[in-house]
Amino acid sequence: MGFSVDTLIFETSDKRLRERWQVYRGRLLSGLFVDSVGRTTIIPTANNQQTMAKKVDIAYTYDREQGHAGLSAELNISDPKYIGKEATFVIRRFVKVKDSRPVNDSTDLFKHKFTVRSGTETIRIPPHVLKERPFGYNGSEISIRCFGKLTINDKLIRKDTSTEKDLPTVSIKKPRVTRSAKKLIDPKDVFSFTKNLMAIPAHNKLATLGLLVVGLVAIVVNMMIGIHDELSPRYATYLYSQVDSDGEYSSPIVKALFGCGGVGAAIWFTIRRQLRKYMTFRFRPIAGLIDRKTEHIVGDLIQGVSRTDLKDVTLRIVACNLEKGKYVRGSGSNRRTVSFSVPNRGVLLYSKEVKLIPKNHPVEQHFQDPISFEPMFKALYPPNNVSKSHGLFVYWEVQLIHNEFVDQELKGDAAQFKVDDFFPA
Amino acid sequence: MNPAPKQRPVHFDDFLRLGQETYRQTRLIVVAGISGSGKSTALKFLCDYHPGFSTGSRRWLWMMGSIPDVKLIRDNRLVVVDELCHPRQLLAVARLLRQNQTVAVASHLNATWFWPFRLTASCRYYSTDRDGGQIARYLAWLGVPHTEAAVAEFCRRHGPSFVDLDCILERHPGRSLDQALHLSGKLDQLTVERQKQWRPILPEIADIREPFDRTPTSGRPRWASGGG
Repeated sequence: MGFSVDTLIFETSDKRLRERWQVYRGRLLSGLFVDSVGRTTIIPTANNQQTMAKKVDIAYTYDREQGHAGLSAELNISDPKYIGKEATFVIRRFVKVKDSRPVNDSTDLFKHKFTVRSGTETIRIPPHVLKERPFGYNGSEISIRCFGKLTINDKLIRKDTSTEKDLPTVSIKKPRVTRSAKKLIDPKDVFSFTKNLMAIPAHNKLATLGLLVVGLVAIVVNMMIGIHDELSPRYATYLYSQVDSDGEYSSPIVKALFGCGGVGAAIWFTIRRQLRKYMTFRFRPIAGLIDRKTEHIVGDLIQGVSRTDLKDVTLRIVACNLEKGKYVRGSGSNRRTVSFSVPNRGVLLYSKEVKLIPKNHPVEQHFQDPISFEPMFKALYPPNNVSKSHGLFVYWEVQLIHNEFVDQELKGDAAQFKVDDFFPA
Repeated sequence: MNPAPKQRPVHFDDFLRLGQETYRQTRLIVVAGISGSGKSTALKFLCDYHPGFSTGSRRWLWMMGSIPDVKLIRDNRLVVVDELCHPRQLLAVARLLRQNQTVAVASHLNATWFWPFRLTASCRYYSTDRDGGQIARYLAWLGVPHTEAAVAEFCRRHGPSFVDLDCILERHPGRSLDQALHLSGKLDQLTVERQKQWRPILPEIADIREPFDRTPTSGRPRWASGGG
């Protein structure tokens, strides 16, 4: 045959061939071509789609010399019935949530509206699209695609004719990471209440003790009232009635127990907040972007002072990718949207245990070791986010882990990383 | 009963002790609480399993933010009014009370709105938000370890909502409520979607459990809830 297989259906006038196509189109797998004498050939198509059967198609060309401005999309619109119709070509980044009730999200990187004038339209894709270095990602909870989509406005009611083709994107290969990212970013917090209490400032100590006393008194008084009301005649109860609003029996002791549980829990969470105040711990400002070659002294990243001696304390710097998306649960008036973040590919960048950090001594002085973020750049995928709630993110944090006190955590700013440095393996 | 689509069967904990009542003289039953706390499931129990109602004629009515025409709904043993969320819808409830024997309402309104009914008819009012006891029992039934503090913290953040609890446990399977809550606070966010139009789905009860009966059942549906 004297023509390229890819353009066969546009150029041939062989009626028998076309008829065979119409017979086979619905049943054939993509990438297979059956010619007029029934021979089956594998079609060398780029994306393994049924290109032969398409009336509209997209092909990309790339001129290396022009760099980011070198990408063009050639839109083949073979059927003359589309001439004069309005059409739209978009470059879309799409996050698909792998769930039975997903909430997907997408963003258009480029949009071009035009009227179809001929069989082929060539559109130059602006450089900002390639500058963003779009790449495909297939994770455990989400997948991300970047593709061009051509839509011809040819139907009033039914769906318009359209086709889409993945953008020729960067292939990123990252090493396998076996560490549990969830455990890495959420170490189990073990602490001693009494030691923690002794370590917090006097006014917080007083507040905590005050809360404890008030809570204990409230619980005891509440229980005493509950017992009294349970044992008293109906007319002599103090607080808890033995009957509910409908005149049925209702146990005052059970009501009092629930009251105590509520009071106890509220006080416990307030106290826990107080207990974190045994030390100050925060980030220091970091100048410039962090890249593969940047080395920092850990002590230059953080600062803090403890009000008590910290024994056997571990400082860790961890990083991971976060797959973010949304899905829906419940139905009717009970419908919920769950926004999730799933940590993946956890990397431990730094970990050091210090036997003793004396009280009122700067914490950072005990961590004067260099840290390189290179392992993170090697192991993690670059950020590829469509919105705040959808996409692939880079996350890092500093953890100060202690078995006697409530752990401290500082969430880092991923915008400080040089994104381009995530791409090389 | 008017036909309606059904959802995955749920475990029903009779924490309101509905099964222990006869409702012989009761005209109005109000079950109030937050979304997902088990109001509709409680009413479904009344409708299908309570001996006082399950043998008589019953009718389920979804308010869907509007005031439906209830002229033709009459002479039923029980009419269930689901998703009552606006005081003006009480007019329809009043009319249903005149035309039917008993009306049961799943309400998002404050209890005070029902005082006029209490003065004129025998009324029972239940709140599904009263405490986290049902949440603790549900967790025990699921076999999810939890502390009382974690249950209280969950109720503080989300209210006693089975739907929210299911969402959190689904995200962090195999963990205690304490751990799941901590991770959820760090990584997830739950948003209640208010929809103007939605497809009503009747809860389907898989098994019934008396309050404080903590023995797990074999073959239970996983992550099922009494949302509603």
